[in-house]
Amino acid sequence: MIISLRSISYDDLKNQLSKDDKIVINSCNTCIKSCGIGGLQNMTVLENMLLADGYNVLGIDLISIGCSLNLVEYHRQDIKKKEMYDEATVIITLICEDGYEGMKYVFKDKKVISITKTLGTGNFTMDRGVVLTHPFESTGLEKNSEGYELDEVAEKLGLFEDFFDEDDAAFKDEEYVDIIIDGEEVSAIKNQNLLCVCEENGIEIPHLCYNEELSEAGVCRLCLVKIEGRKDLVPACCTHVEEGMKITTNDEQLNKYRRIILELIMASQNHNCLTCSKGIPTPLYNCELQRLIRQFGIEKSRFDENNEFMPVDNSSPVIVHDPNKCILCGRCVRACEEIAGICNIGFINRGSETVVAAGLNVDMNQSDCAACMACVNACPTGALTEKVIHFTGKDWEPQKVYCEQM
Amino acid sequence: MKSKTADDINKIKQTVIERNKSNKSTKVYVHMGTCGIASGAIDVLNTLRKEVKDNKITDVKIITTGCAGICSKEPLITVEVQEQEPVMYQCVDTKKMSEIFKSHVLDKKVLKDYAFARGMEIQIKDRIKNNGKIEGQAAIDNSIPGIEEIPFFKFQEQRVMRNRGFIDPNKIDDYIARDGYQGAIKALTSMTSDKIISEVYDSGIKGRGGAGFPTGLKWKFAAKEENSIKYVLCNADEGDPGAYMDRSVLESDPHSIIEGMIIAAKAIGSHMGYIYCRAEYPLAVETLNKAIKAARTYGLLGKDILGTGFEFDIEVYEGAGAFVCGEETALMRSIEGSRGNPRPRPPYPAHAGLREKPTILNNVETLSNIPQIIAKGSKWFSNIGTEKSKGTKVFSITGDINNVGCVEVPIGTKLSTVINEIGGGITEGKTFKAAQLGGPSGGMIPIEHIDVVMDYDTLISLGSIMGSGGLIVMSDDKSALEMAEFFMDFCKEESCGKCIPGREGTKQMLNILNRLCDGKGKQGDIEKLENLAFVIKNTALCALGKTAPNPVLSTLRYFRNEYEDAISNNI
Repeated sequence: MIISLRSISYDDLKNQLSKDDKIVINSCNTCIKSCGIGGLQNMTVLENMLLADGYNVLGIDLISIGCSLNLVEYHRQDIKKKEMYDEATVIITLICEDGYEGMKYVFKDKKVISITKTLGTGNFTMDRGVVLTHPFESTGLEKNSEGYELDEVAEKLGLFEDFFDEDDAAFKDEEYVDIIIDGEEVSAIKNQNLLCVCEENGIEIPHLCYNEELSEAGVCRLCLVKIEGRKDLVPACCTHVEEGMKITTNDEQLNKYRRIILELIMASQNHNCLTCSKGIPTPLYNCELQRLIRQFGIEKSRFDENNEFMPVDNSSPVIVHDPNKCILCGRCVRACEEIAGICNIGFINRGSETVVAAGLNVDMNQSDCAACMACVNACPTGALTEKVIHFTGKDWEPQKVYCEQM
Repeated sequence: MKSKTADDINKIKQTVIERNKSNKSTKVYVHMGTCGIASGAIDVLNTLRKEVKDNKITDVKIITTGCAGICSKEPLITVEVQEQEPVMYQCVDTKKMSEIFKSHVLDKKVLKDYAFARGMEIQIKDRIKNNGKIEGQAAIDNSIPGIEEIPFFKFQEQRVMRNRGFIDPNKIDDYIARDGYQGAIKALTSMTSDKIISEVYDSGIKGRGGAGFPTGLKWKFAAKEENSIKYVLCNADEGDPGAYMDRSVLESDPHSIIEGMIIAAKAIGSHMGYIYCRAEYPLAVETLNKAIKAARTYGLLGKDILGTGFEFDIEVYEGAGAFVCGEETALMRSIEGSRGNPRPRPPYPAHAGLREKPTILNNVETLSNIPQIIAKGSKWFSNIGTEKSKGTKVFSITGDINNVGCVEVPIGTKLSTVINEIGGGITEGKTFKAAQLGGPSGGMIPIEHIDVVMDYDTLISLGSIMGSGGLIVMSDDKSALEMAEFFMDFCKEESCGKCIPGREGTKQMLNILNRLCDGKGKQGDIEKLENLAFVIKNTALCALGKTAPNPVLSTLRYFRNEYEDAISNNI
């Protein structure tokens, strides 16, 4: 993993901008995100800060691997983003220095601003977070297999280890609405996504097809909630909050529906956690389906299980596609279109025969796959996994969780 | 070419009427809907042409029209000798055609044995008024029933189908002569958008595609949107098993749909429309394309319609066979070129529909009602029907019934009238068991409710729906359980696969139904079915999914004993 830190302050960034600039912010979704200075959330923070300070931000764009020139070019030419990129005069890119060089190449005609300094390579550790193990010579640091923690490095080199602070920007005047969720009054930004509002307020609604980095689809039907005055149940992920909404997120009926939907998913395919690599929690992901099944205490589906076995696609050097564990939530399809920008995977067939396939239904390695992992990161089950984690992992290590003196 | 004005259209109308009056030749109408062609109308037509050629006759005019309504008697032809009553012949084949030609066309002698009825359907009201006579037509052999005496025609009220069996769908002049495009002229030259919408709203017409949403309201929402690009769509993706009303309209009177779309476009301020017609209706697609071309050459479509400066054009878009593409959001995705999958609403199409622009989507039957509502007024339209539902509804009756065909009856007609009178009762003297309305989204009406008044609300209270108009009749030797299995199989096959209840739920319901039909039912299967049905009904993404359990719920309501028997027989 490439380790980078933020090199400039918010004021430094503003000094490079003028109010006439038409700004697009983009970010790589890999190393820089793990280093805490990239990714969707940070882009949104920066966008809001700049907007509050009166800059003209046209939009933000998340790219699965920003150092792949092809992918950046695809994004630039994407039918939905082309207009935005064509209009932009300034690109603020949250990416390592290596990726920055590529960005400058793709956006030759525009001013490209980077906010990072790249220091070397490192690792993610469970207890210490990201550490720098192989620093570049220019940093003056020695190679260290234990790794330097980022705050330590930042202090030594005069860099910033965290992202910009929202308080540095002017106060942004947002329109707030009052809504009632499960009897509790809650204030939320108008038109915010209901599922997010609930989550921010500590109310968890089960969901599988929603991912904050992607557009909404409303297909898993687990996040259905009741809204007073509406005849039908509505998916929280596709609902924008409006003044005075009264929402019920959890009652006997909704839970019954959710339970049956989960049982239907269980019966639909072979969801065998014993042999599934998604069962091993990693820093990047764990199995969302398994979590829900446990949460609902489902032992066995009451419906007839589908025993048809579909071949596993092992052809890609880095990705394993096992359609037997696919719940067809479409997150990978959307990720490939929206984050990778290549639309390489999609649905084929119809109804209960539907499957996700790469290219024109070819093996993954025969398709246009850029191995950018956008789909793997988006998958809530073990259908798309990183090859490297297969048949690896270690036994659970017991941990002392109580005090002997008690 | 300079587009025609309203005066030009009226001139054409007069000319055609005059020409028809002065034309003294014998007219032979061959009814060539898909139903007619399937039963051999092309051979009949070829025989007729050959006879005309061989006998070197010049005063015979052959007119090909759409379906005449009573499909079970196809191929049908109508022979009209000048100043004589026209005679409709049923089940014509090439041999009969030659005989009819020799006898009726050449010798002016009616062939009683093959005859079906005297008179034409378009004159049925005049005939009833004048005791079965039409001025200027000599009465003939009274042993042939007059068309007004045949229950199939007697109980119908022709509005949407007012031109069927009479006009040549490929001739725009024929349509104009039958007051065609008068509604468009009125709307474009003397009405504002608001006026059109309020006229449609006041008429009380509800969407004929199945959901029954008030058309005027739909238009109002779209008209309110401020956007320079809006779309008018016509849903001609009729896919319910046993439903073919829309096909019949498309094939026999395409201009009424085009006219309805022009009026809708004026009402909401749209300049582009699409007719989404399923590719399995090749004749309908061909007819529509010809009609659109003809309308363009007359300046009824294009840049400057009727010289009013209003611009509107229509394209036919062929569906690729997915039933779910009849659902509005899926239909729009399909036109955009994407996979025809529904998406959650809101946003509603009136706000963001095709290509995210404000869009209205109306059914074929709805649109072909519009010209008459505008031309004759909302009061005229709402003078028939029930208190809450106005106008007529076209049903296509199929199944174990004598007269299979398309029938248009006032809303509020009793089911028993449609089955026993119009339909001529159940085949082979069997008794009626139930009728399935609304296809796979509908439900059954059993014999104890045969006297139900068919309007939107009453049918819903009985667990069925008006639907698009498919009416499948079952006799008492048929199993309701198998019917439910058939429709569930259909829904499973036609599910788009997007949402989990629609994809997996229908599959599991079908599994259980298969088991029950095979006599391998298990205790608890009925409860499982009910559970699943309620989950799918409440959680599926689109209307197709939400209504997929209806056939099961309705058969469970009326024929629960069949389910119970299927289980107890196995234990």
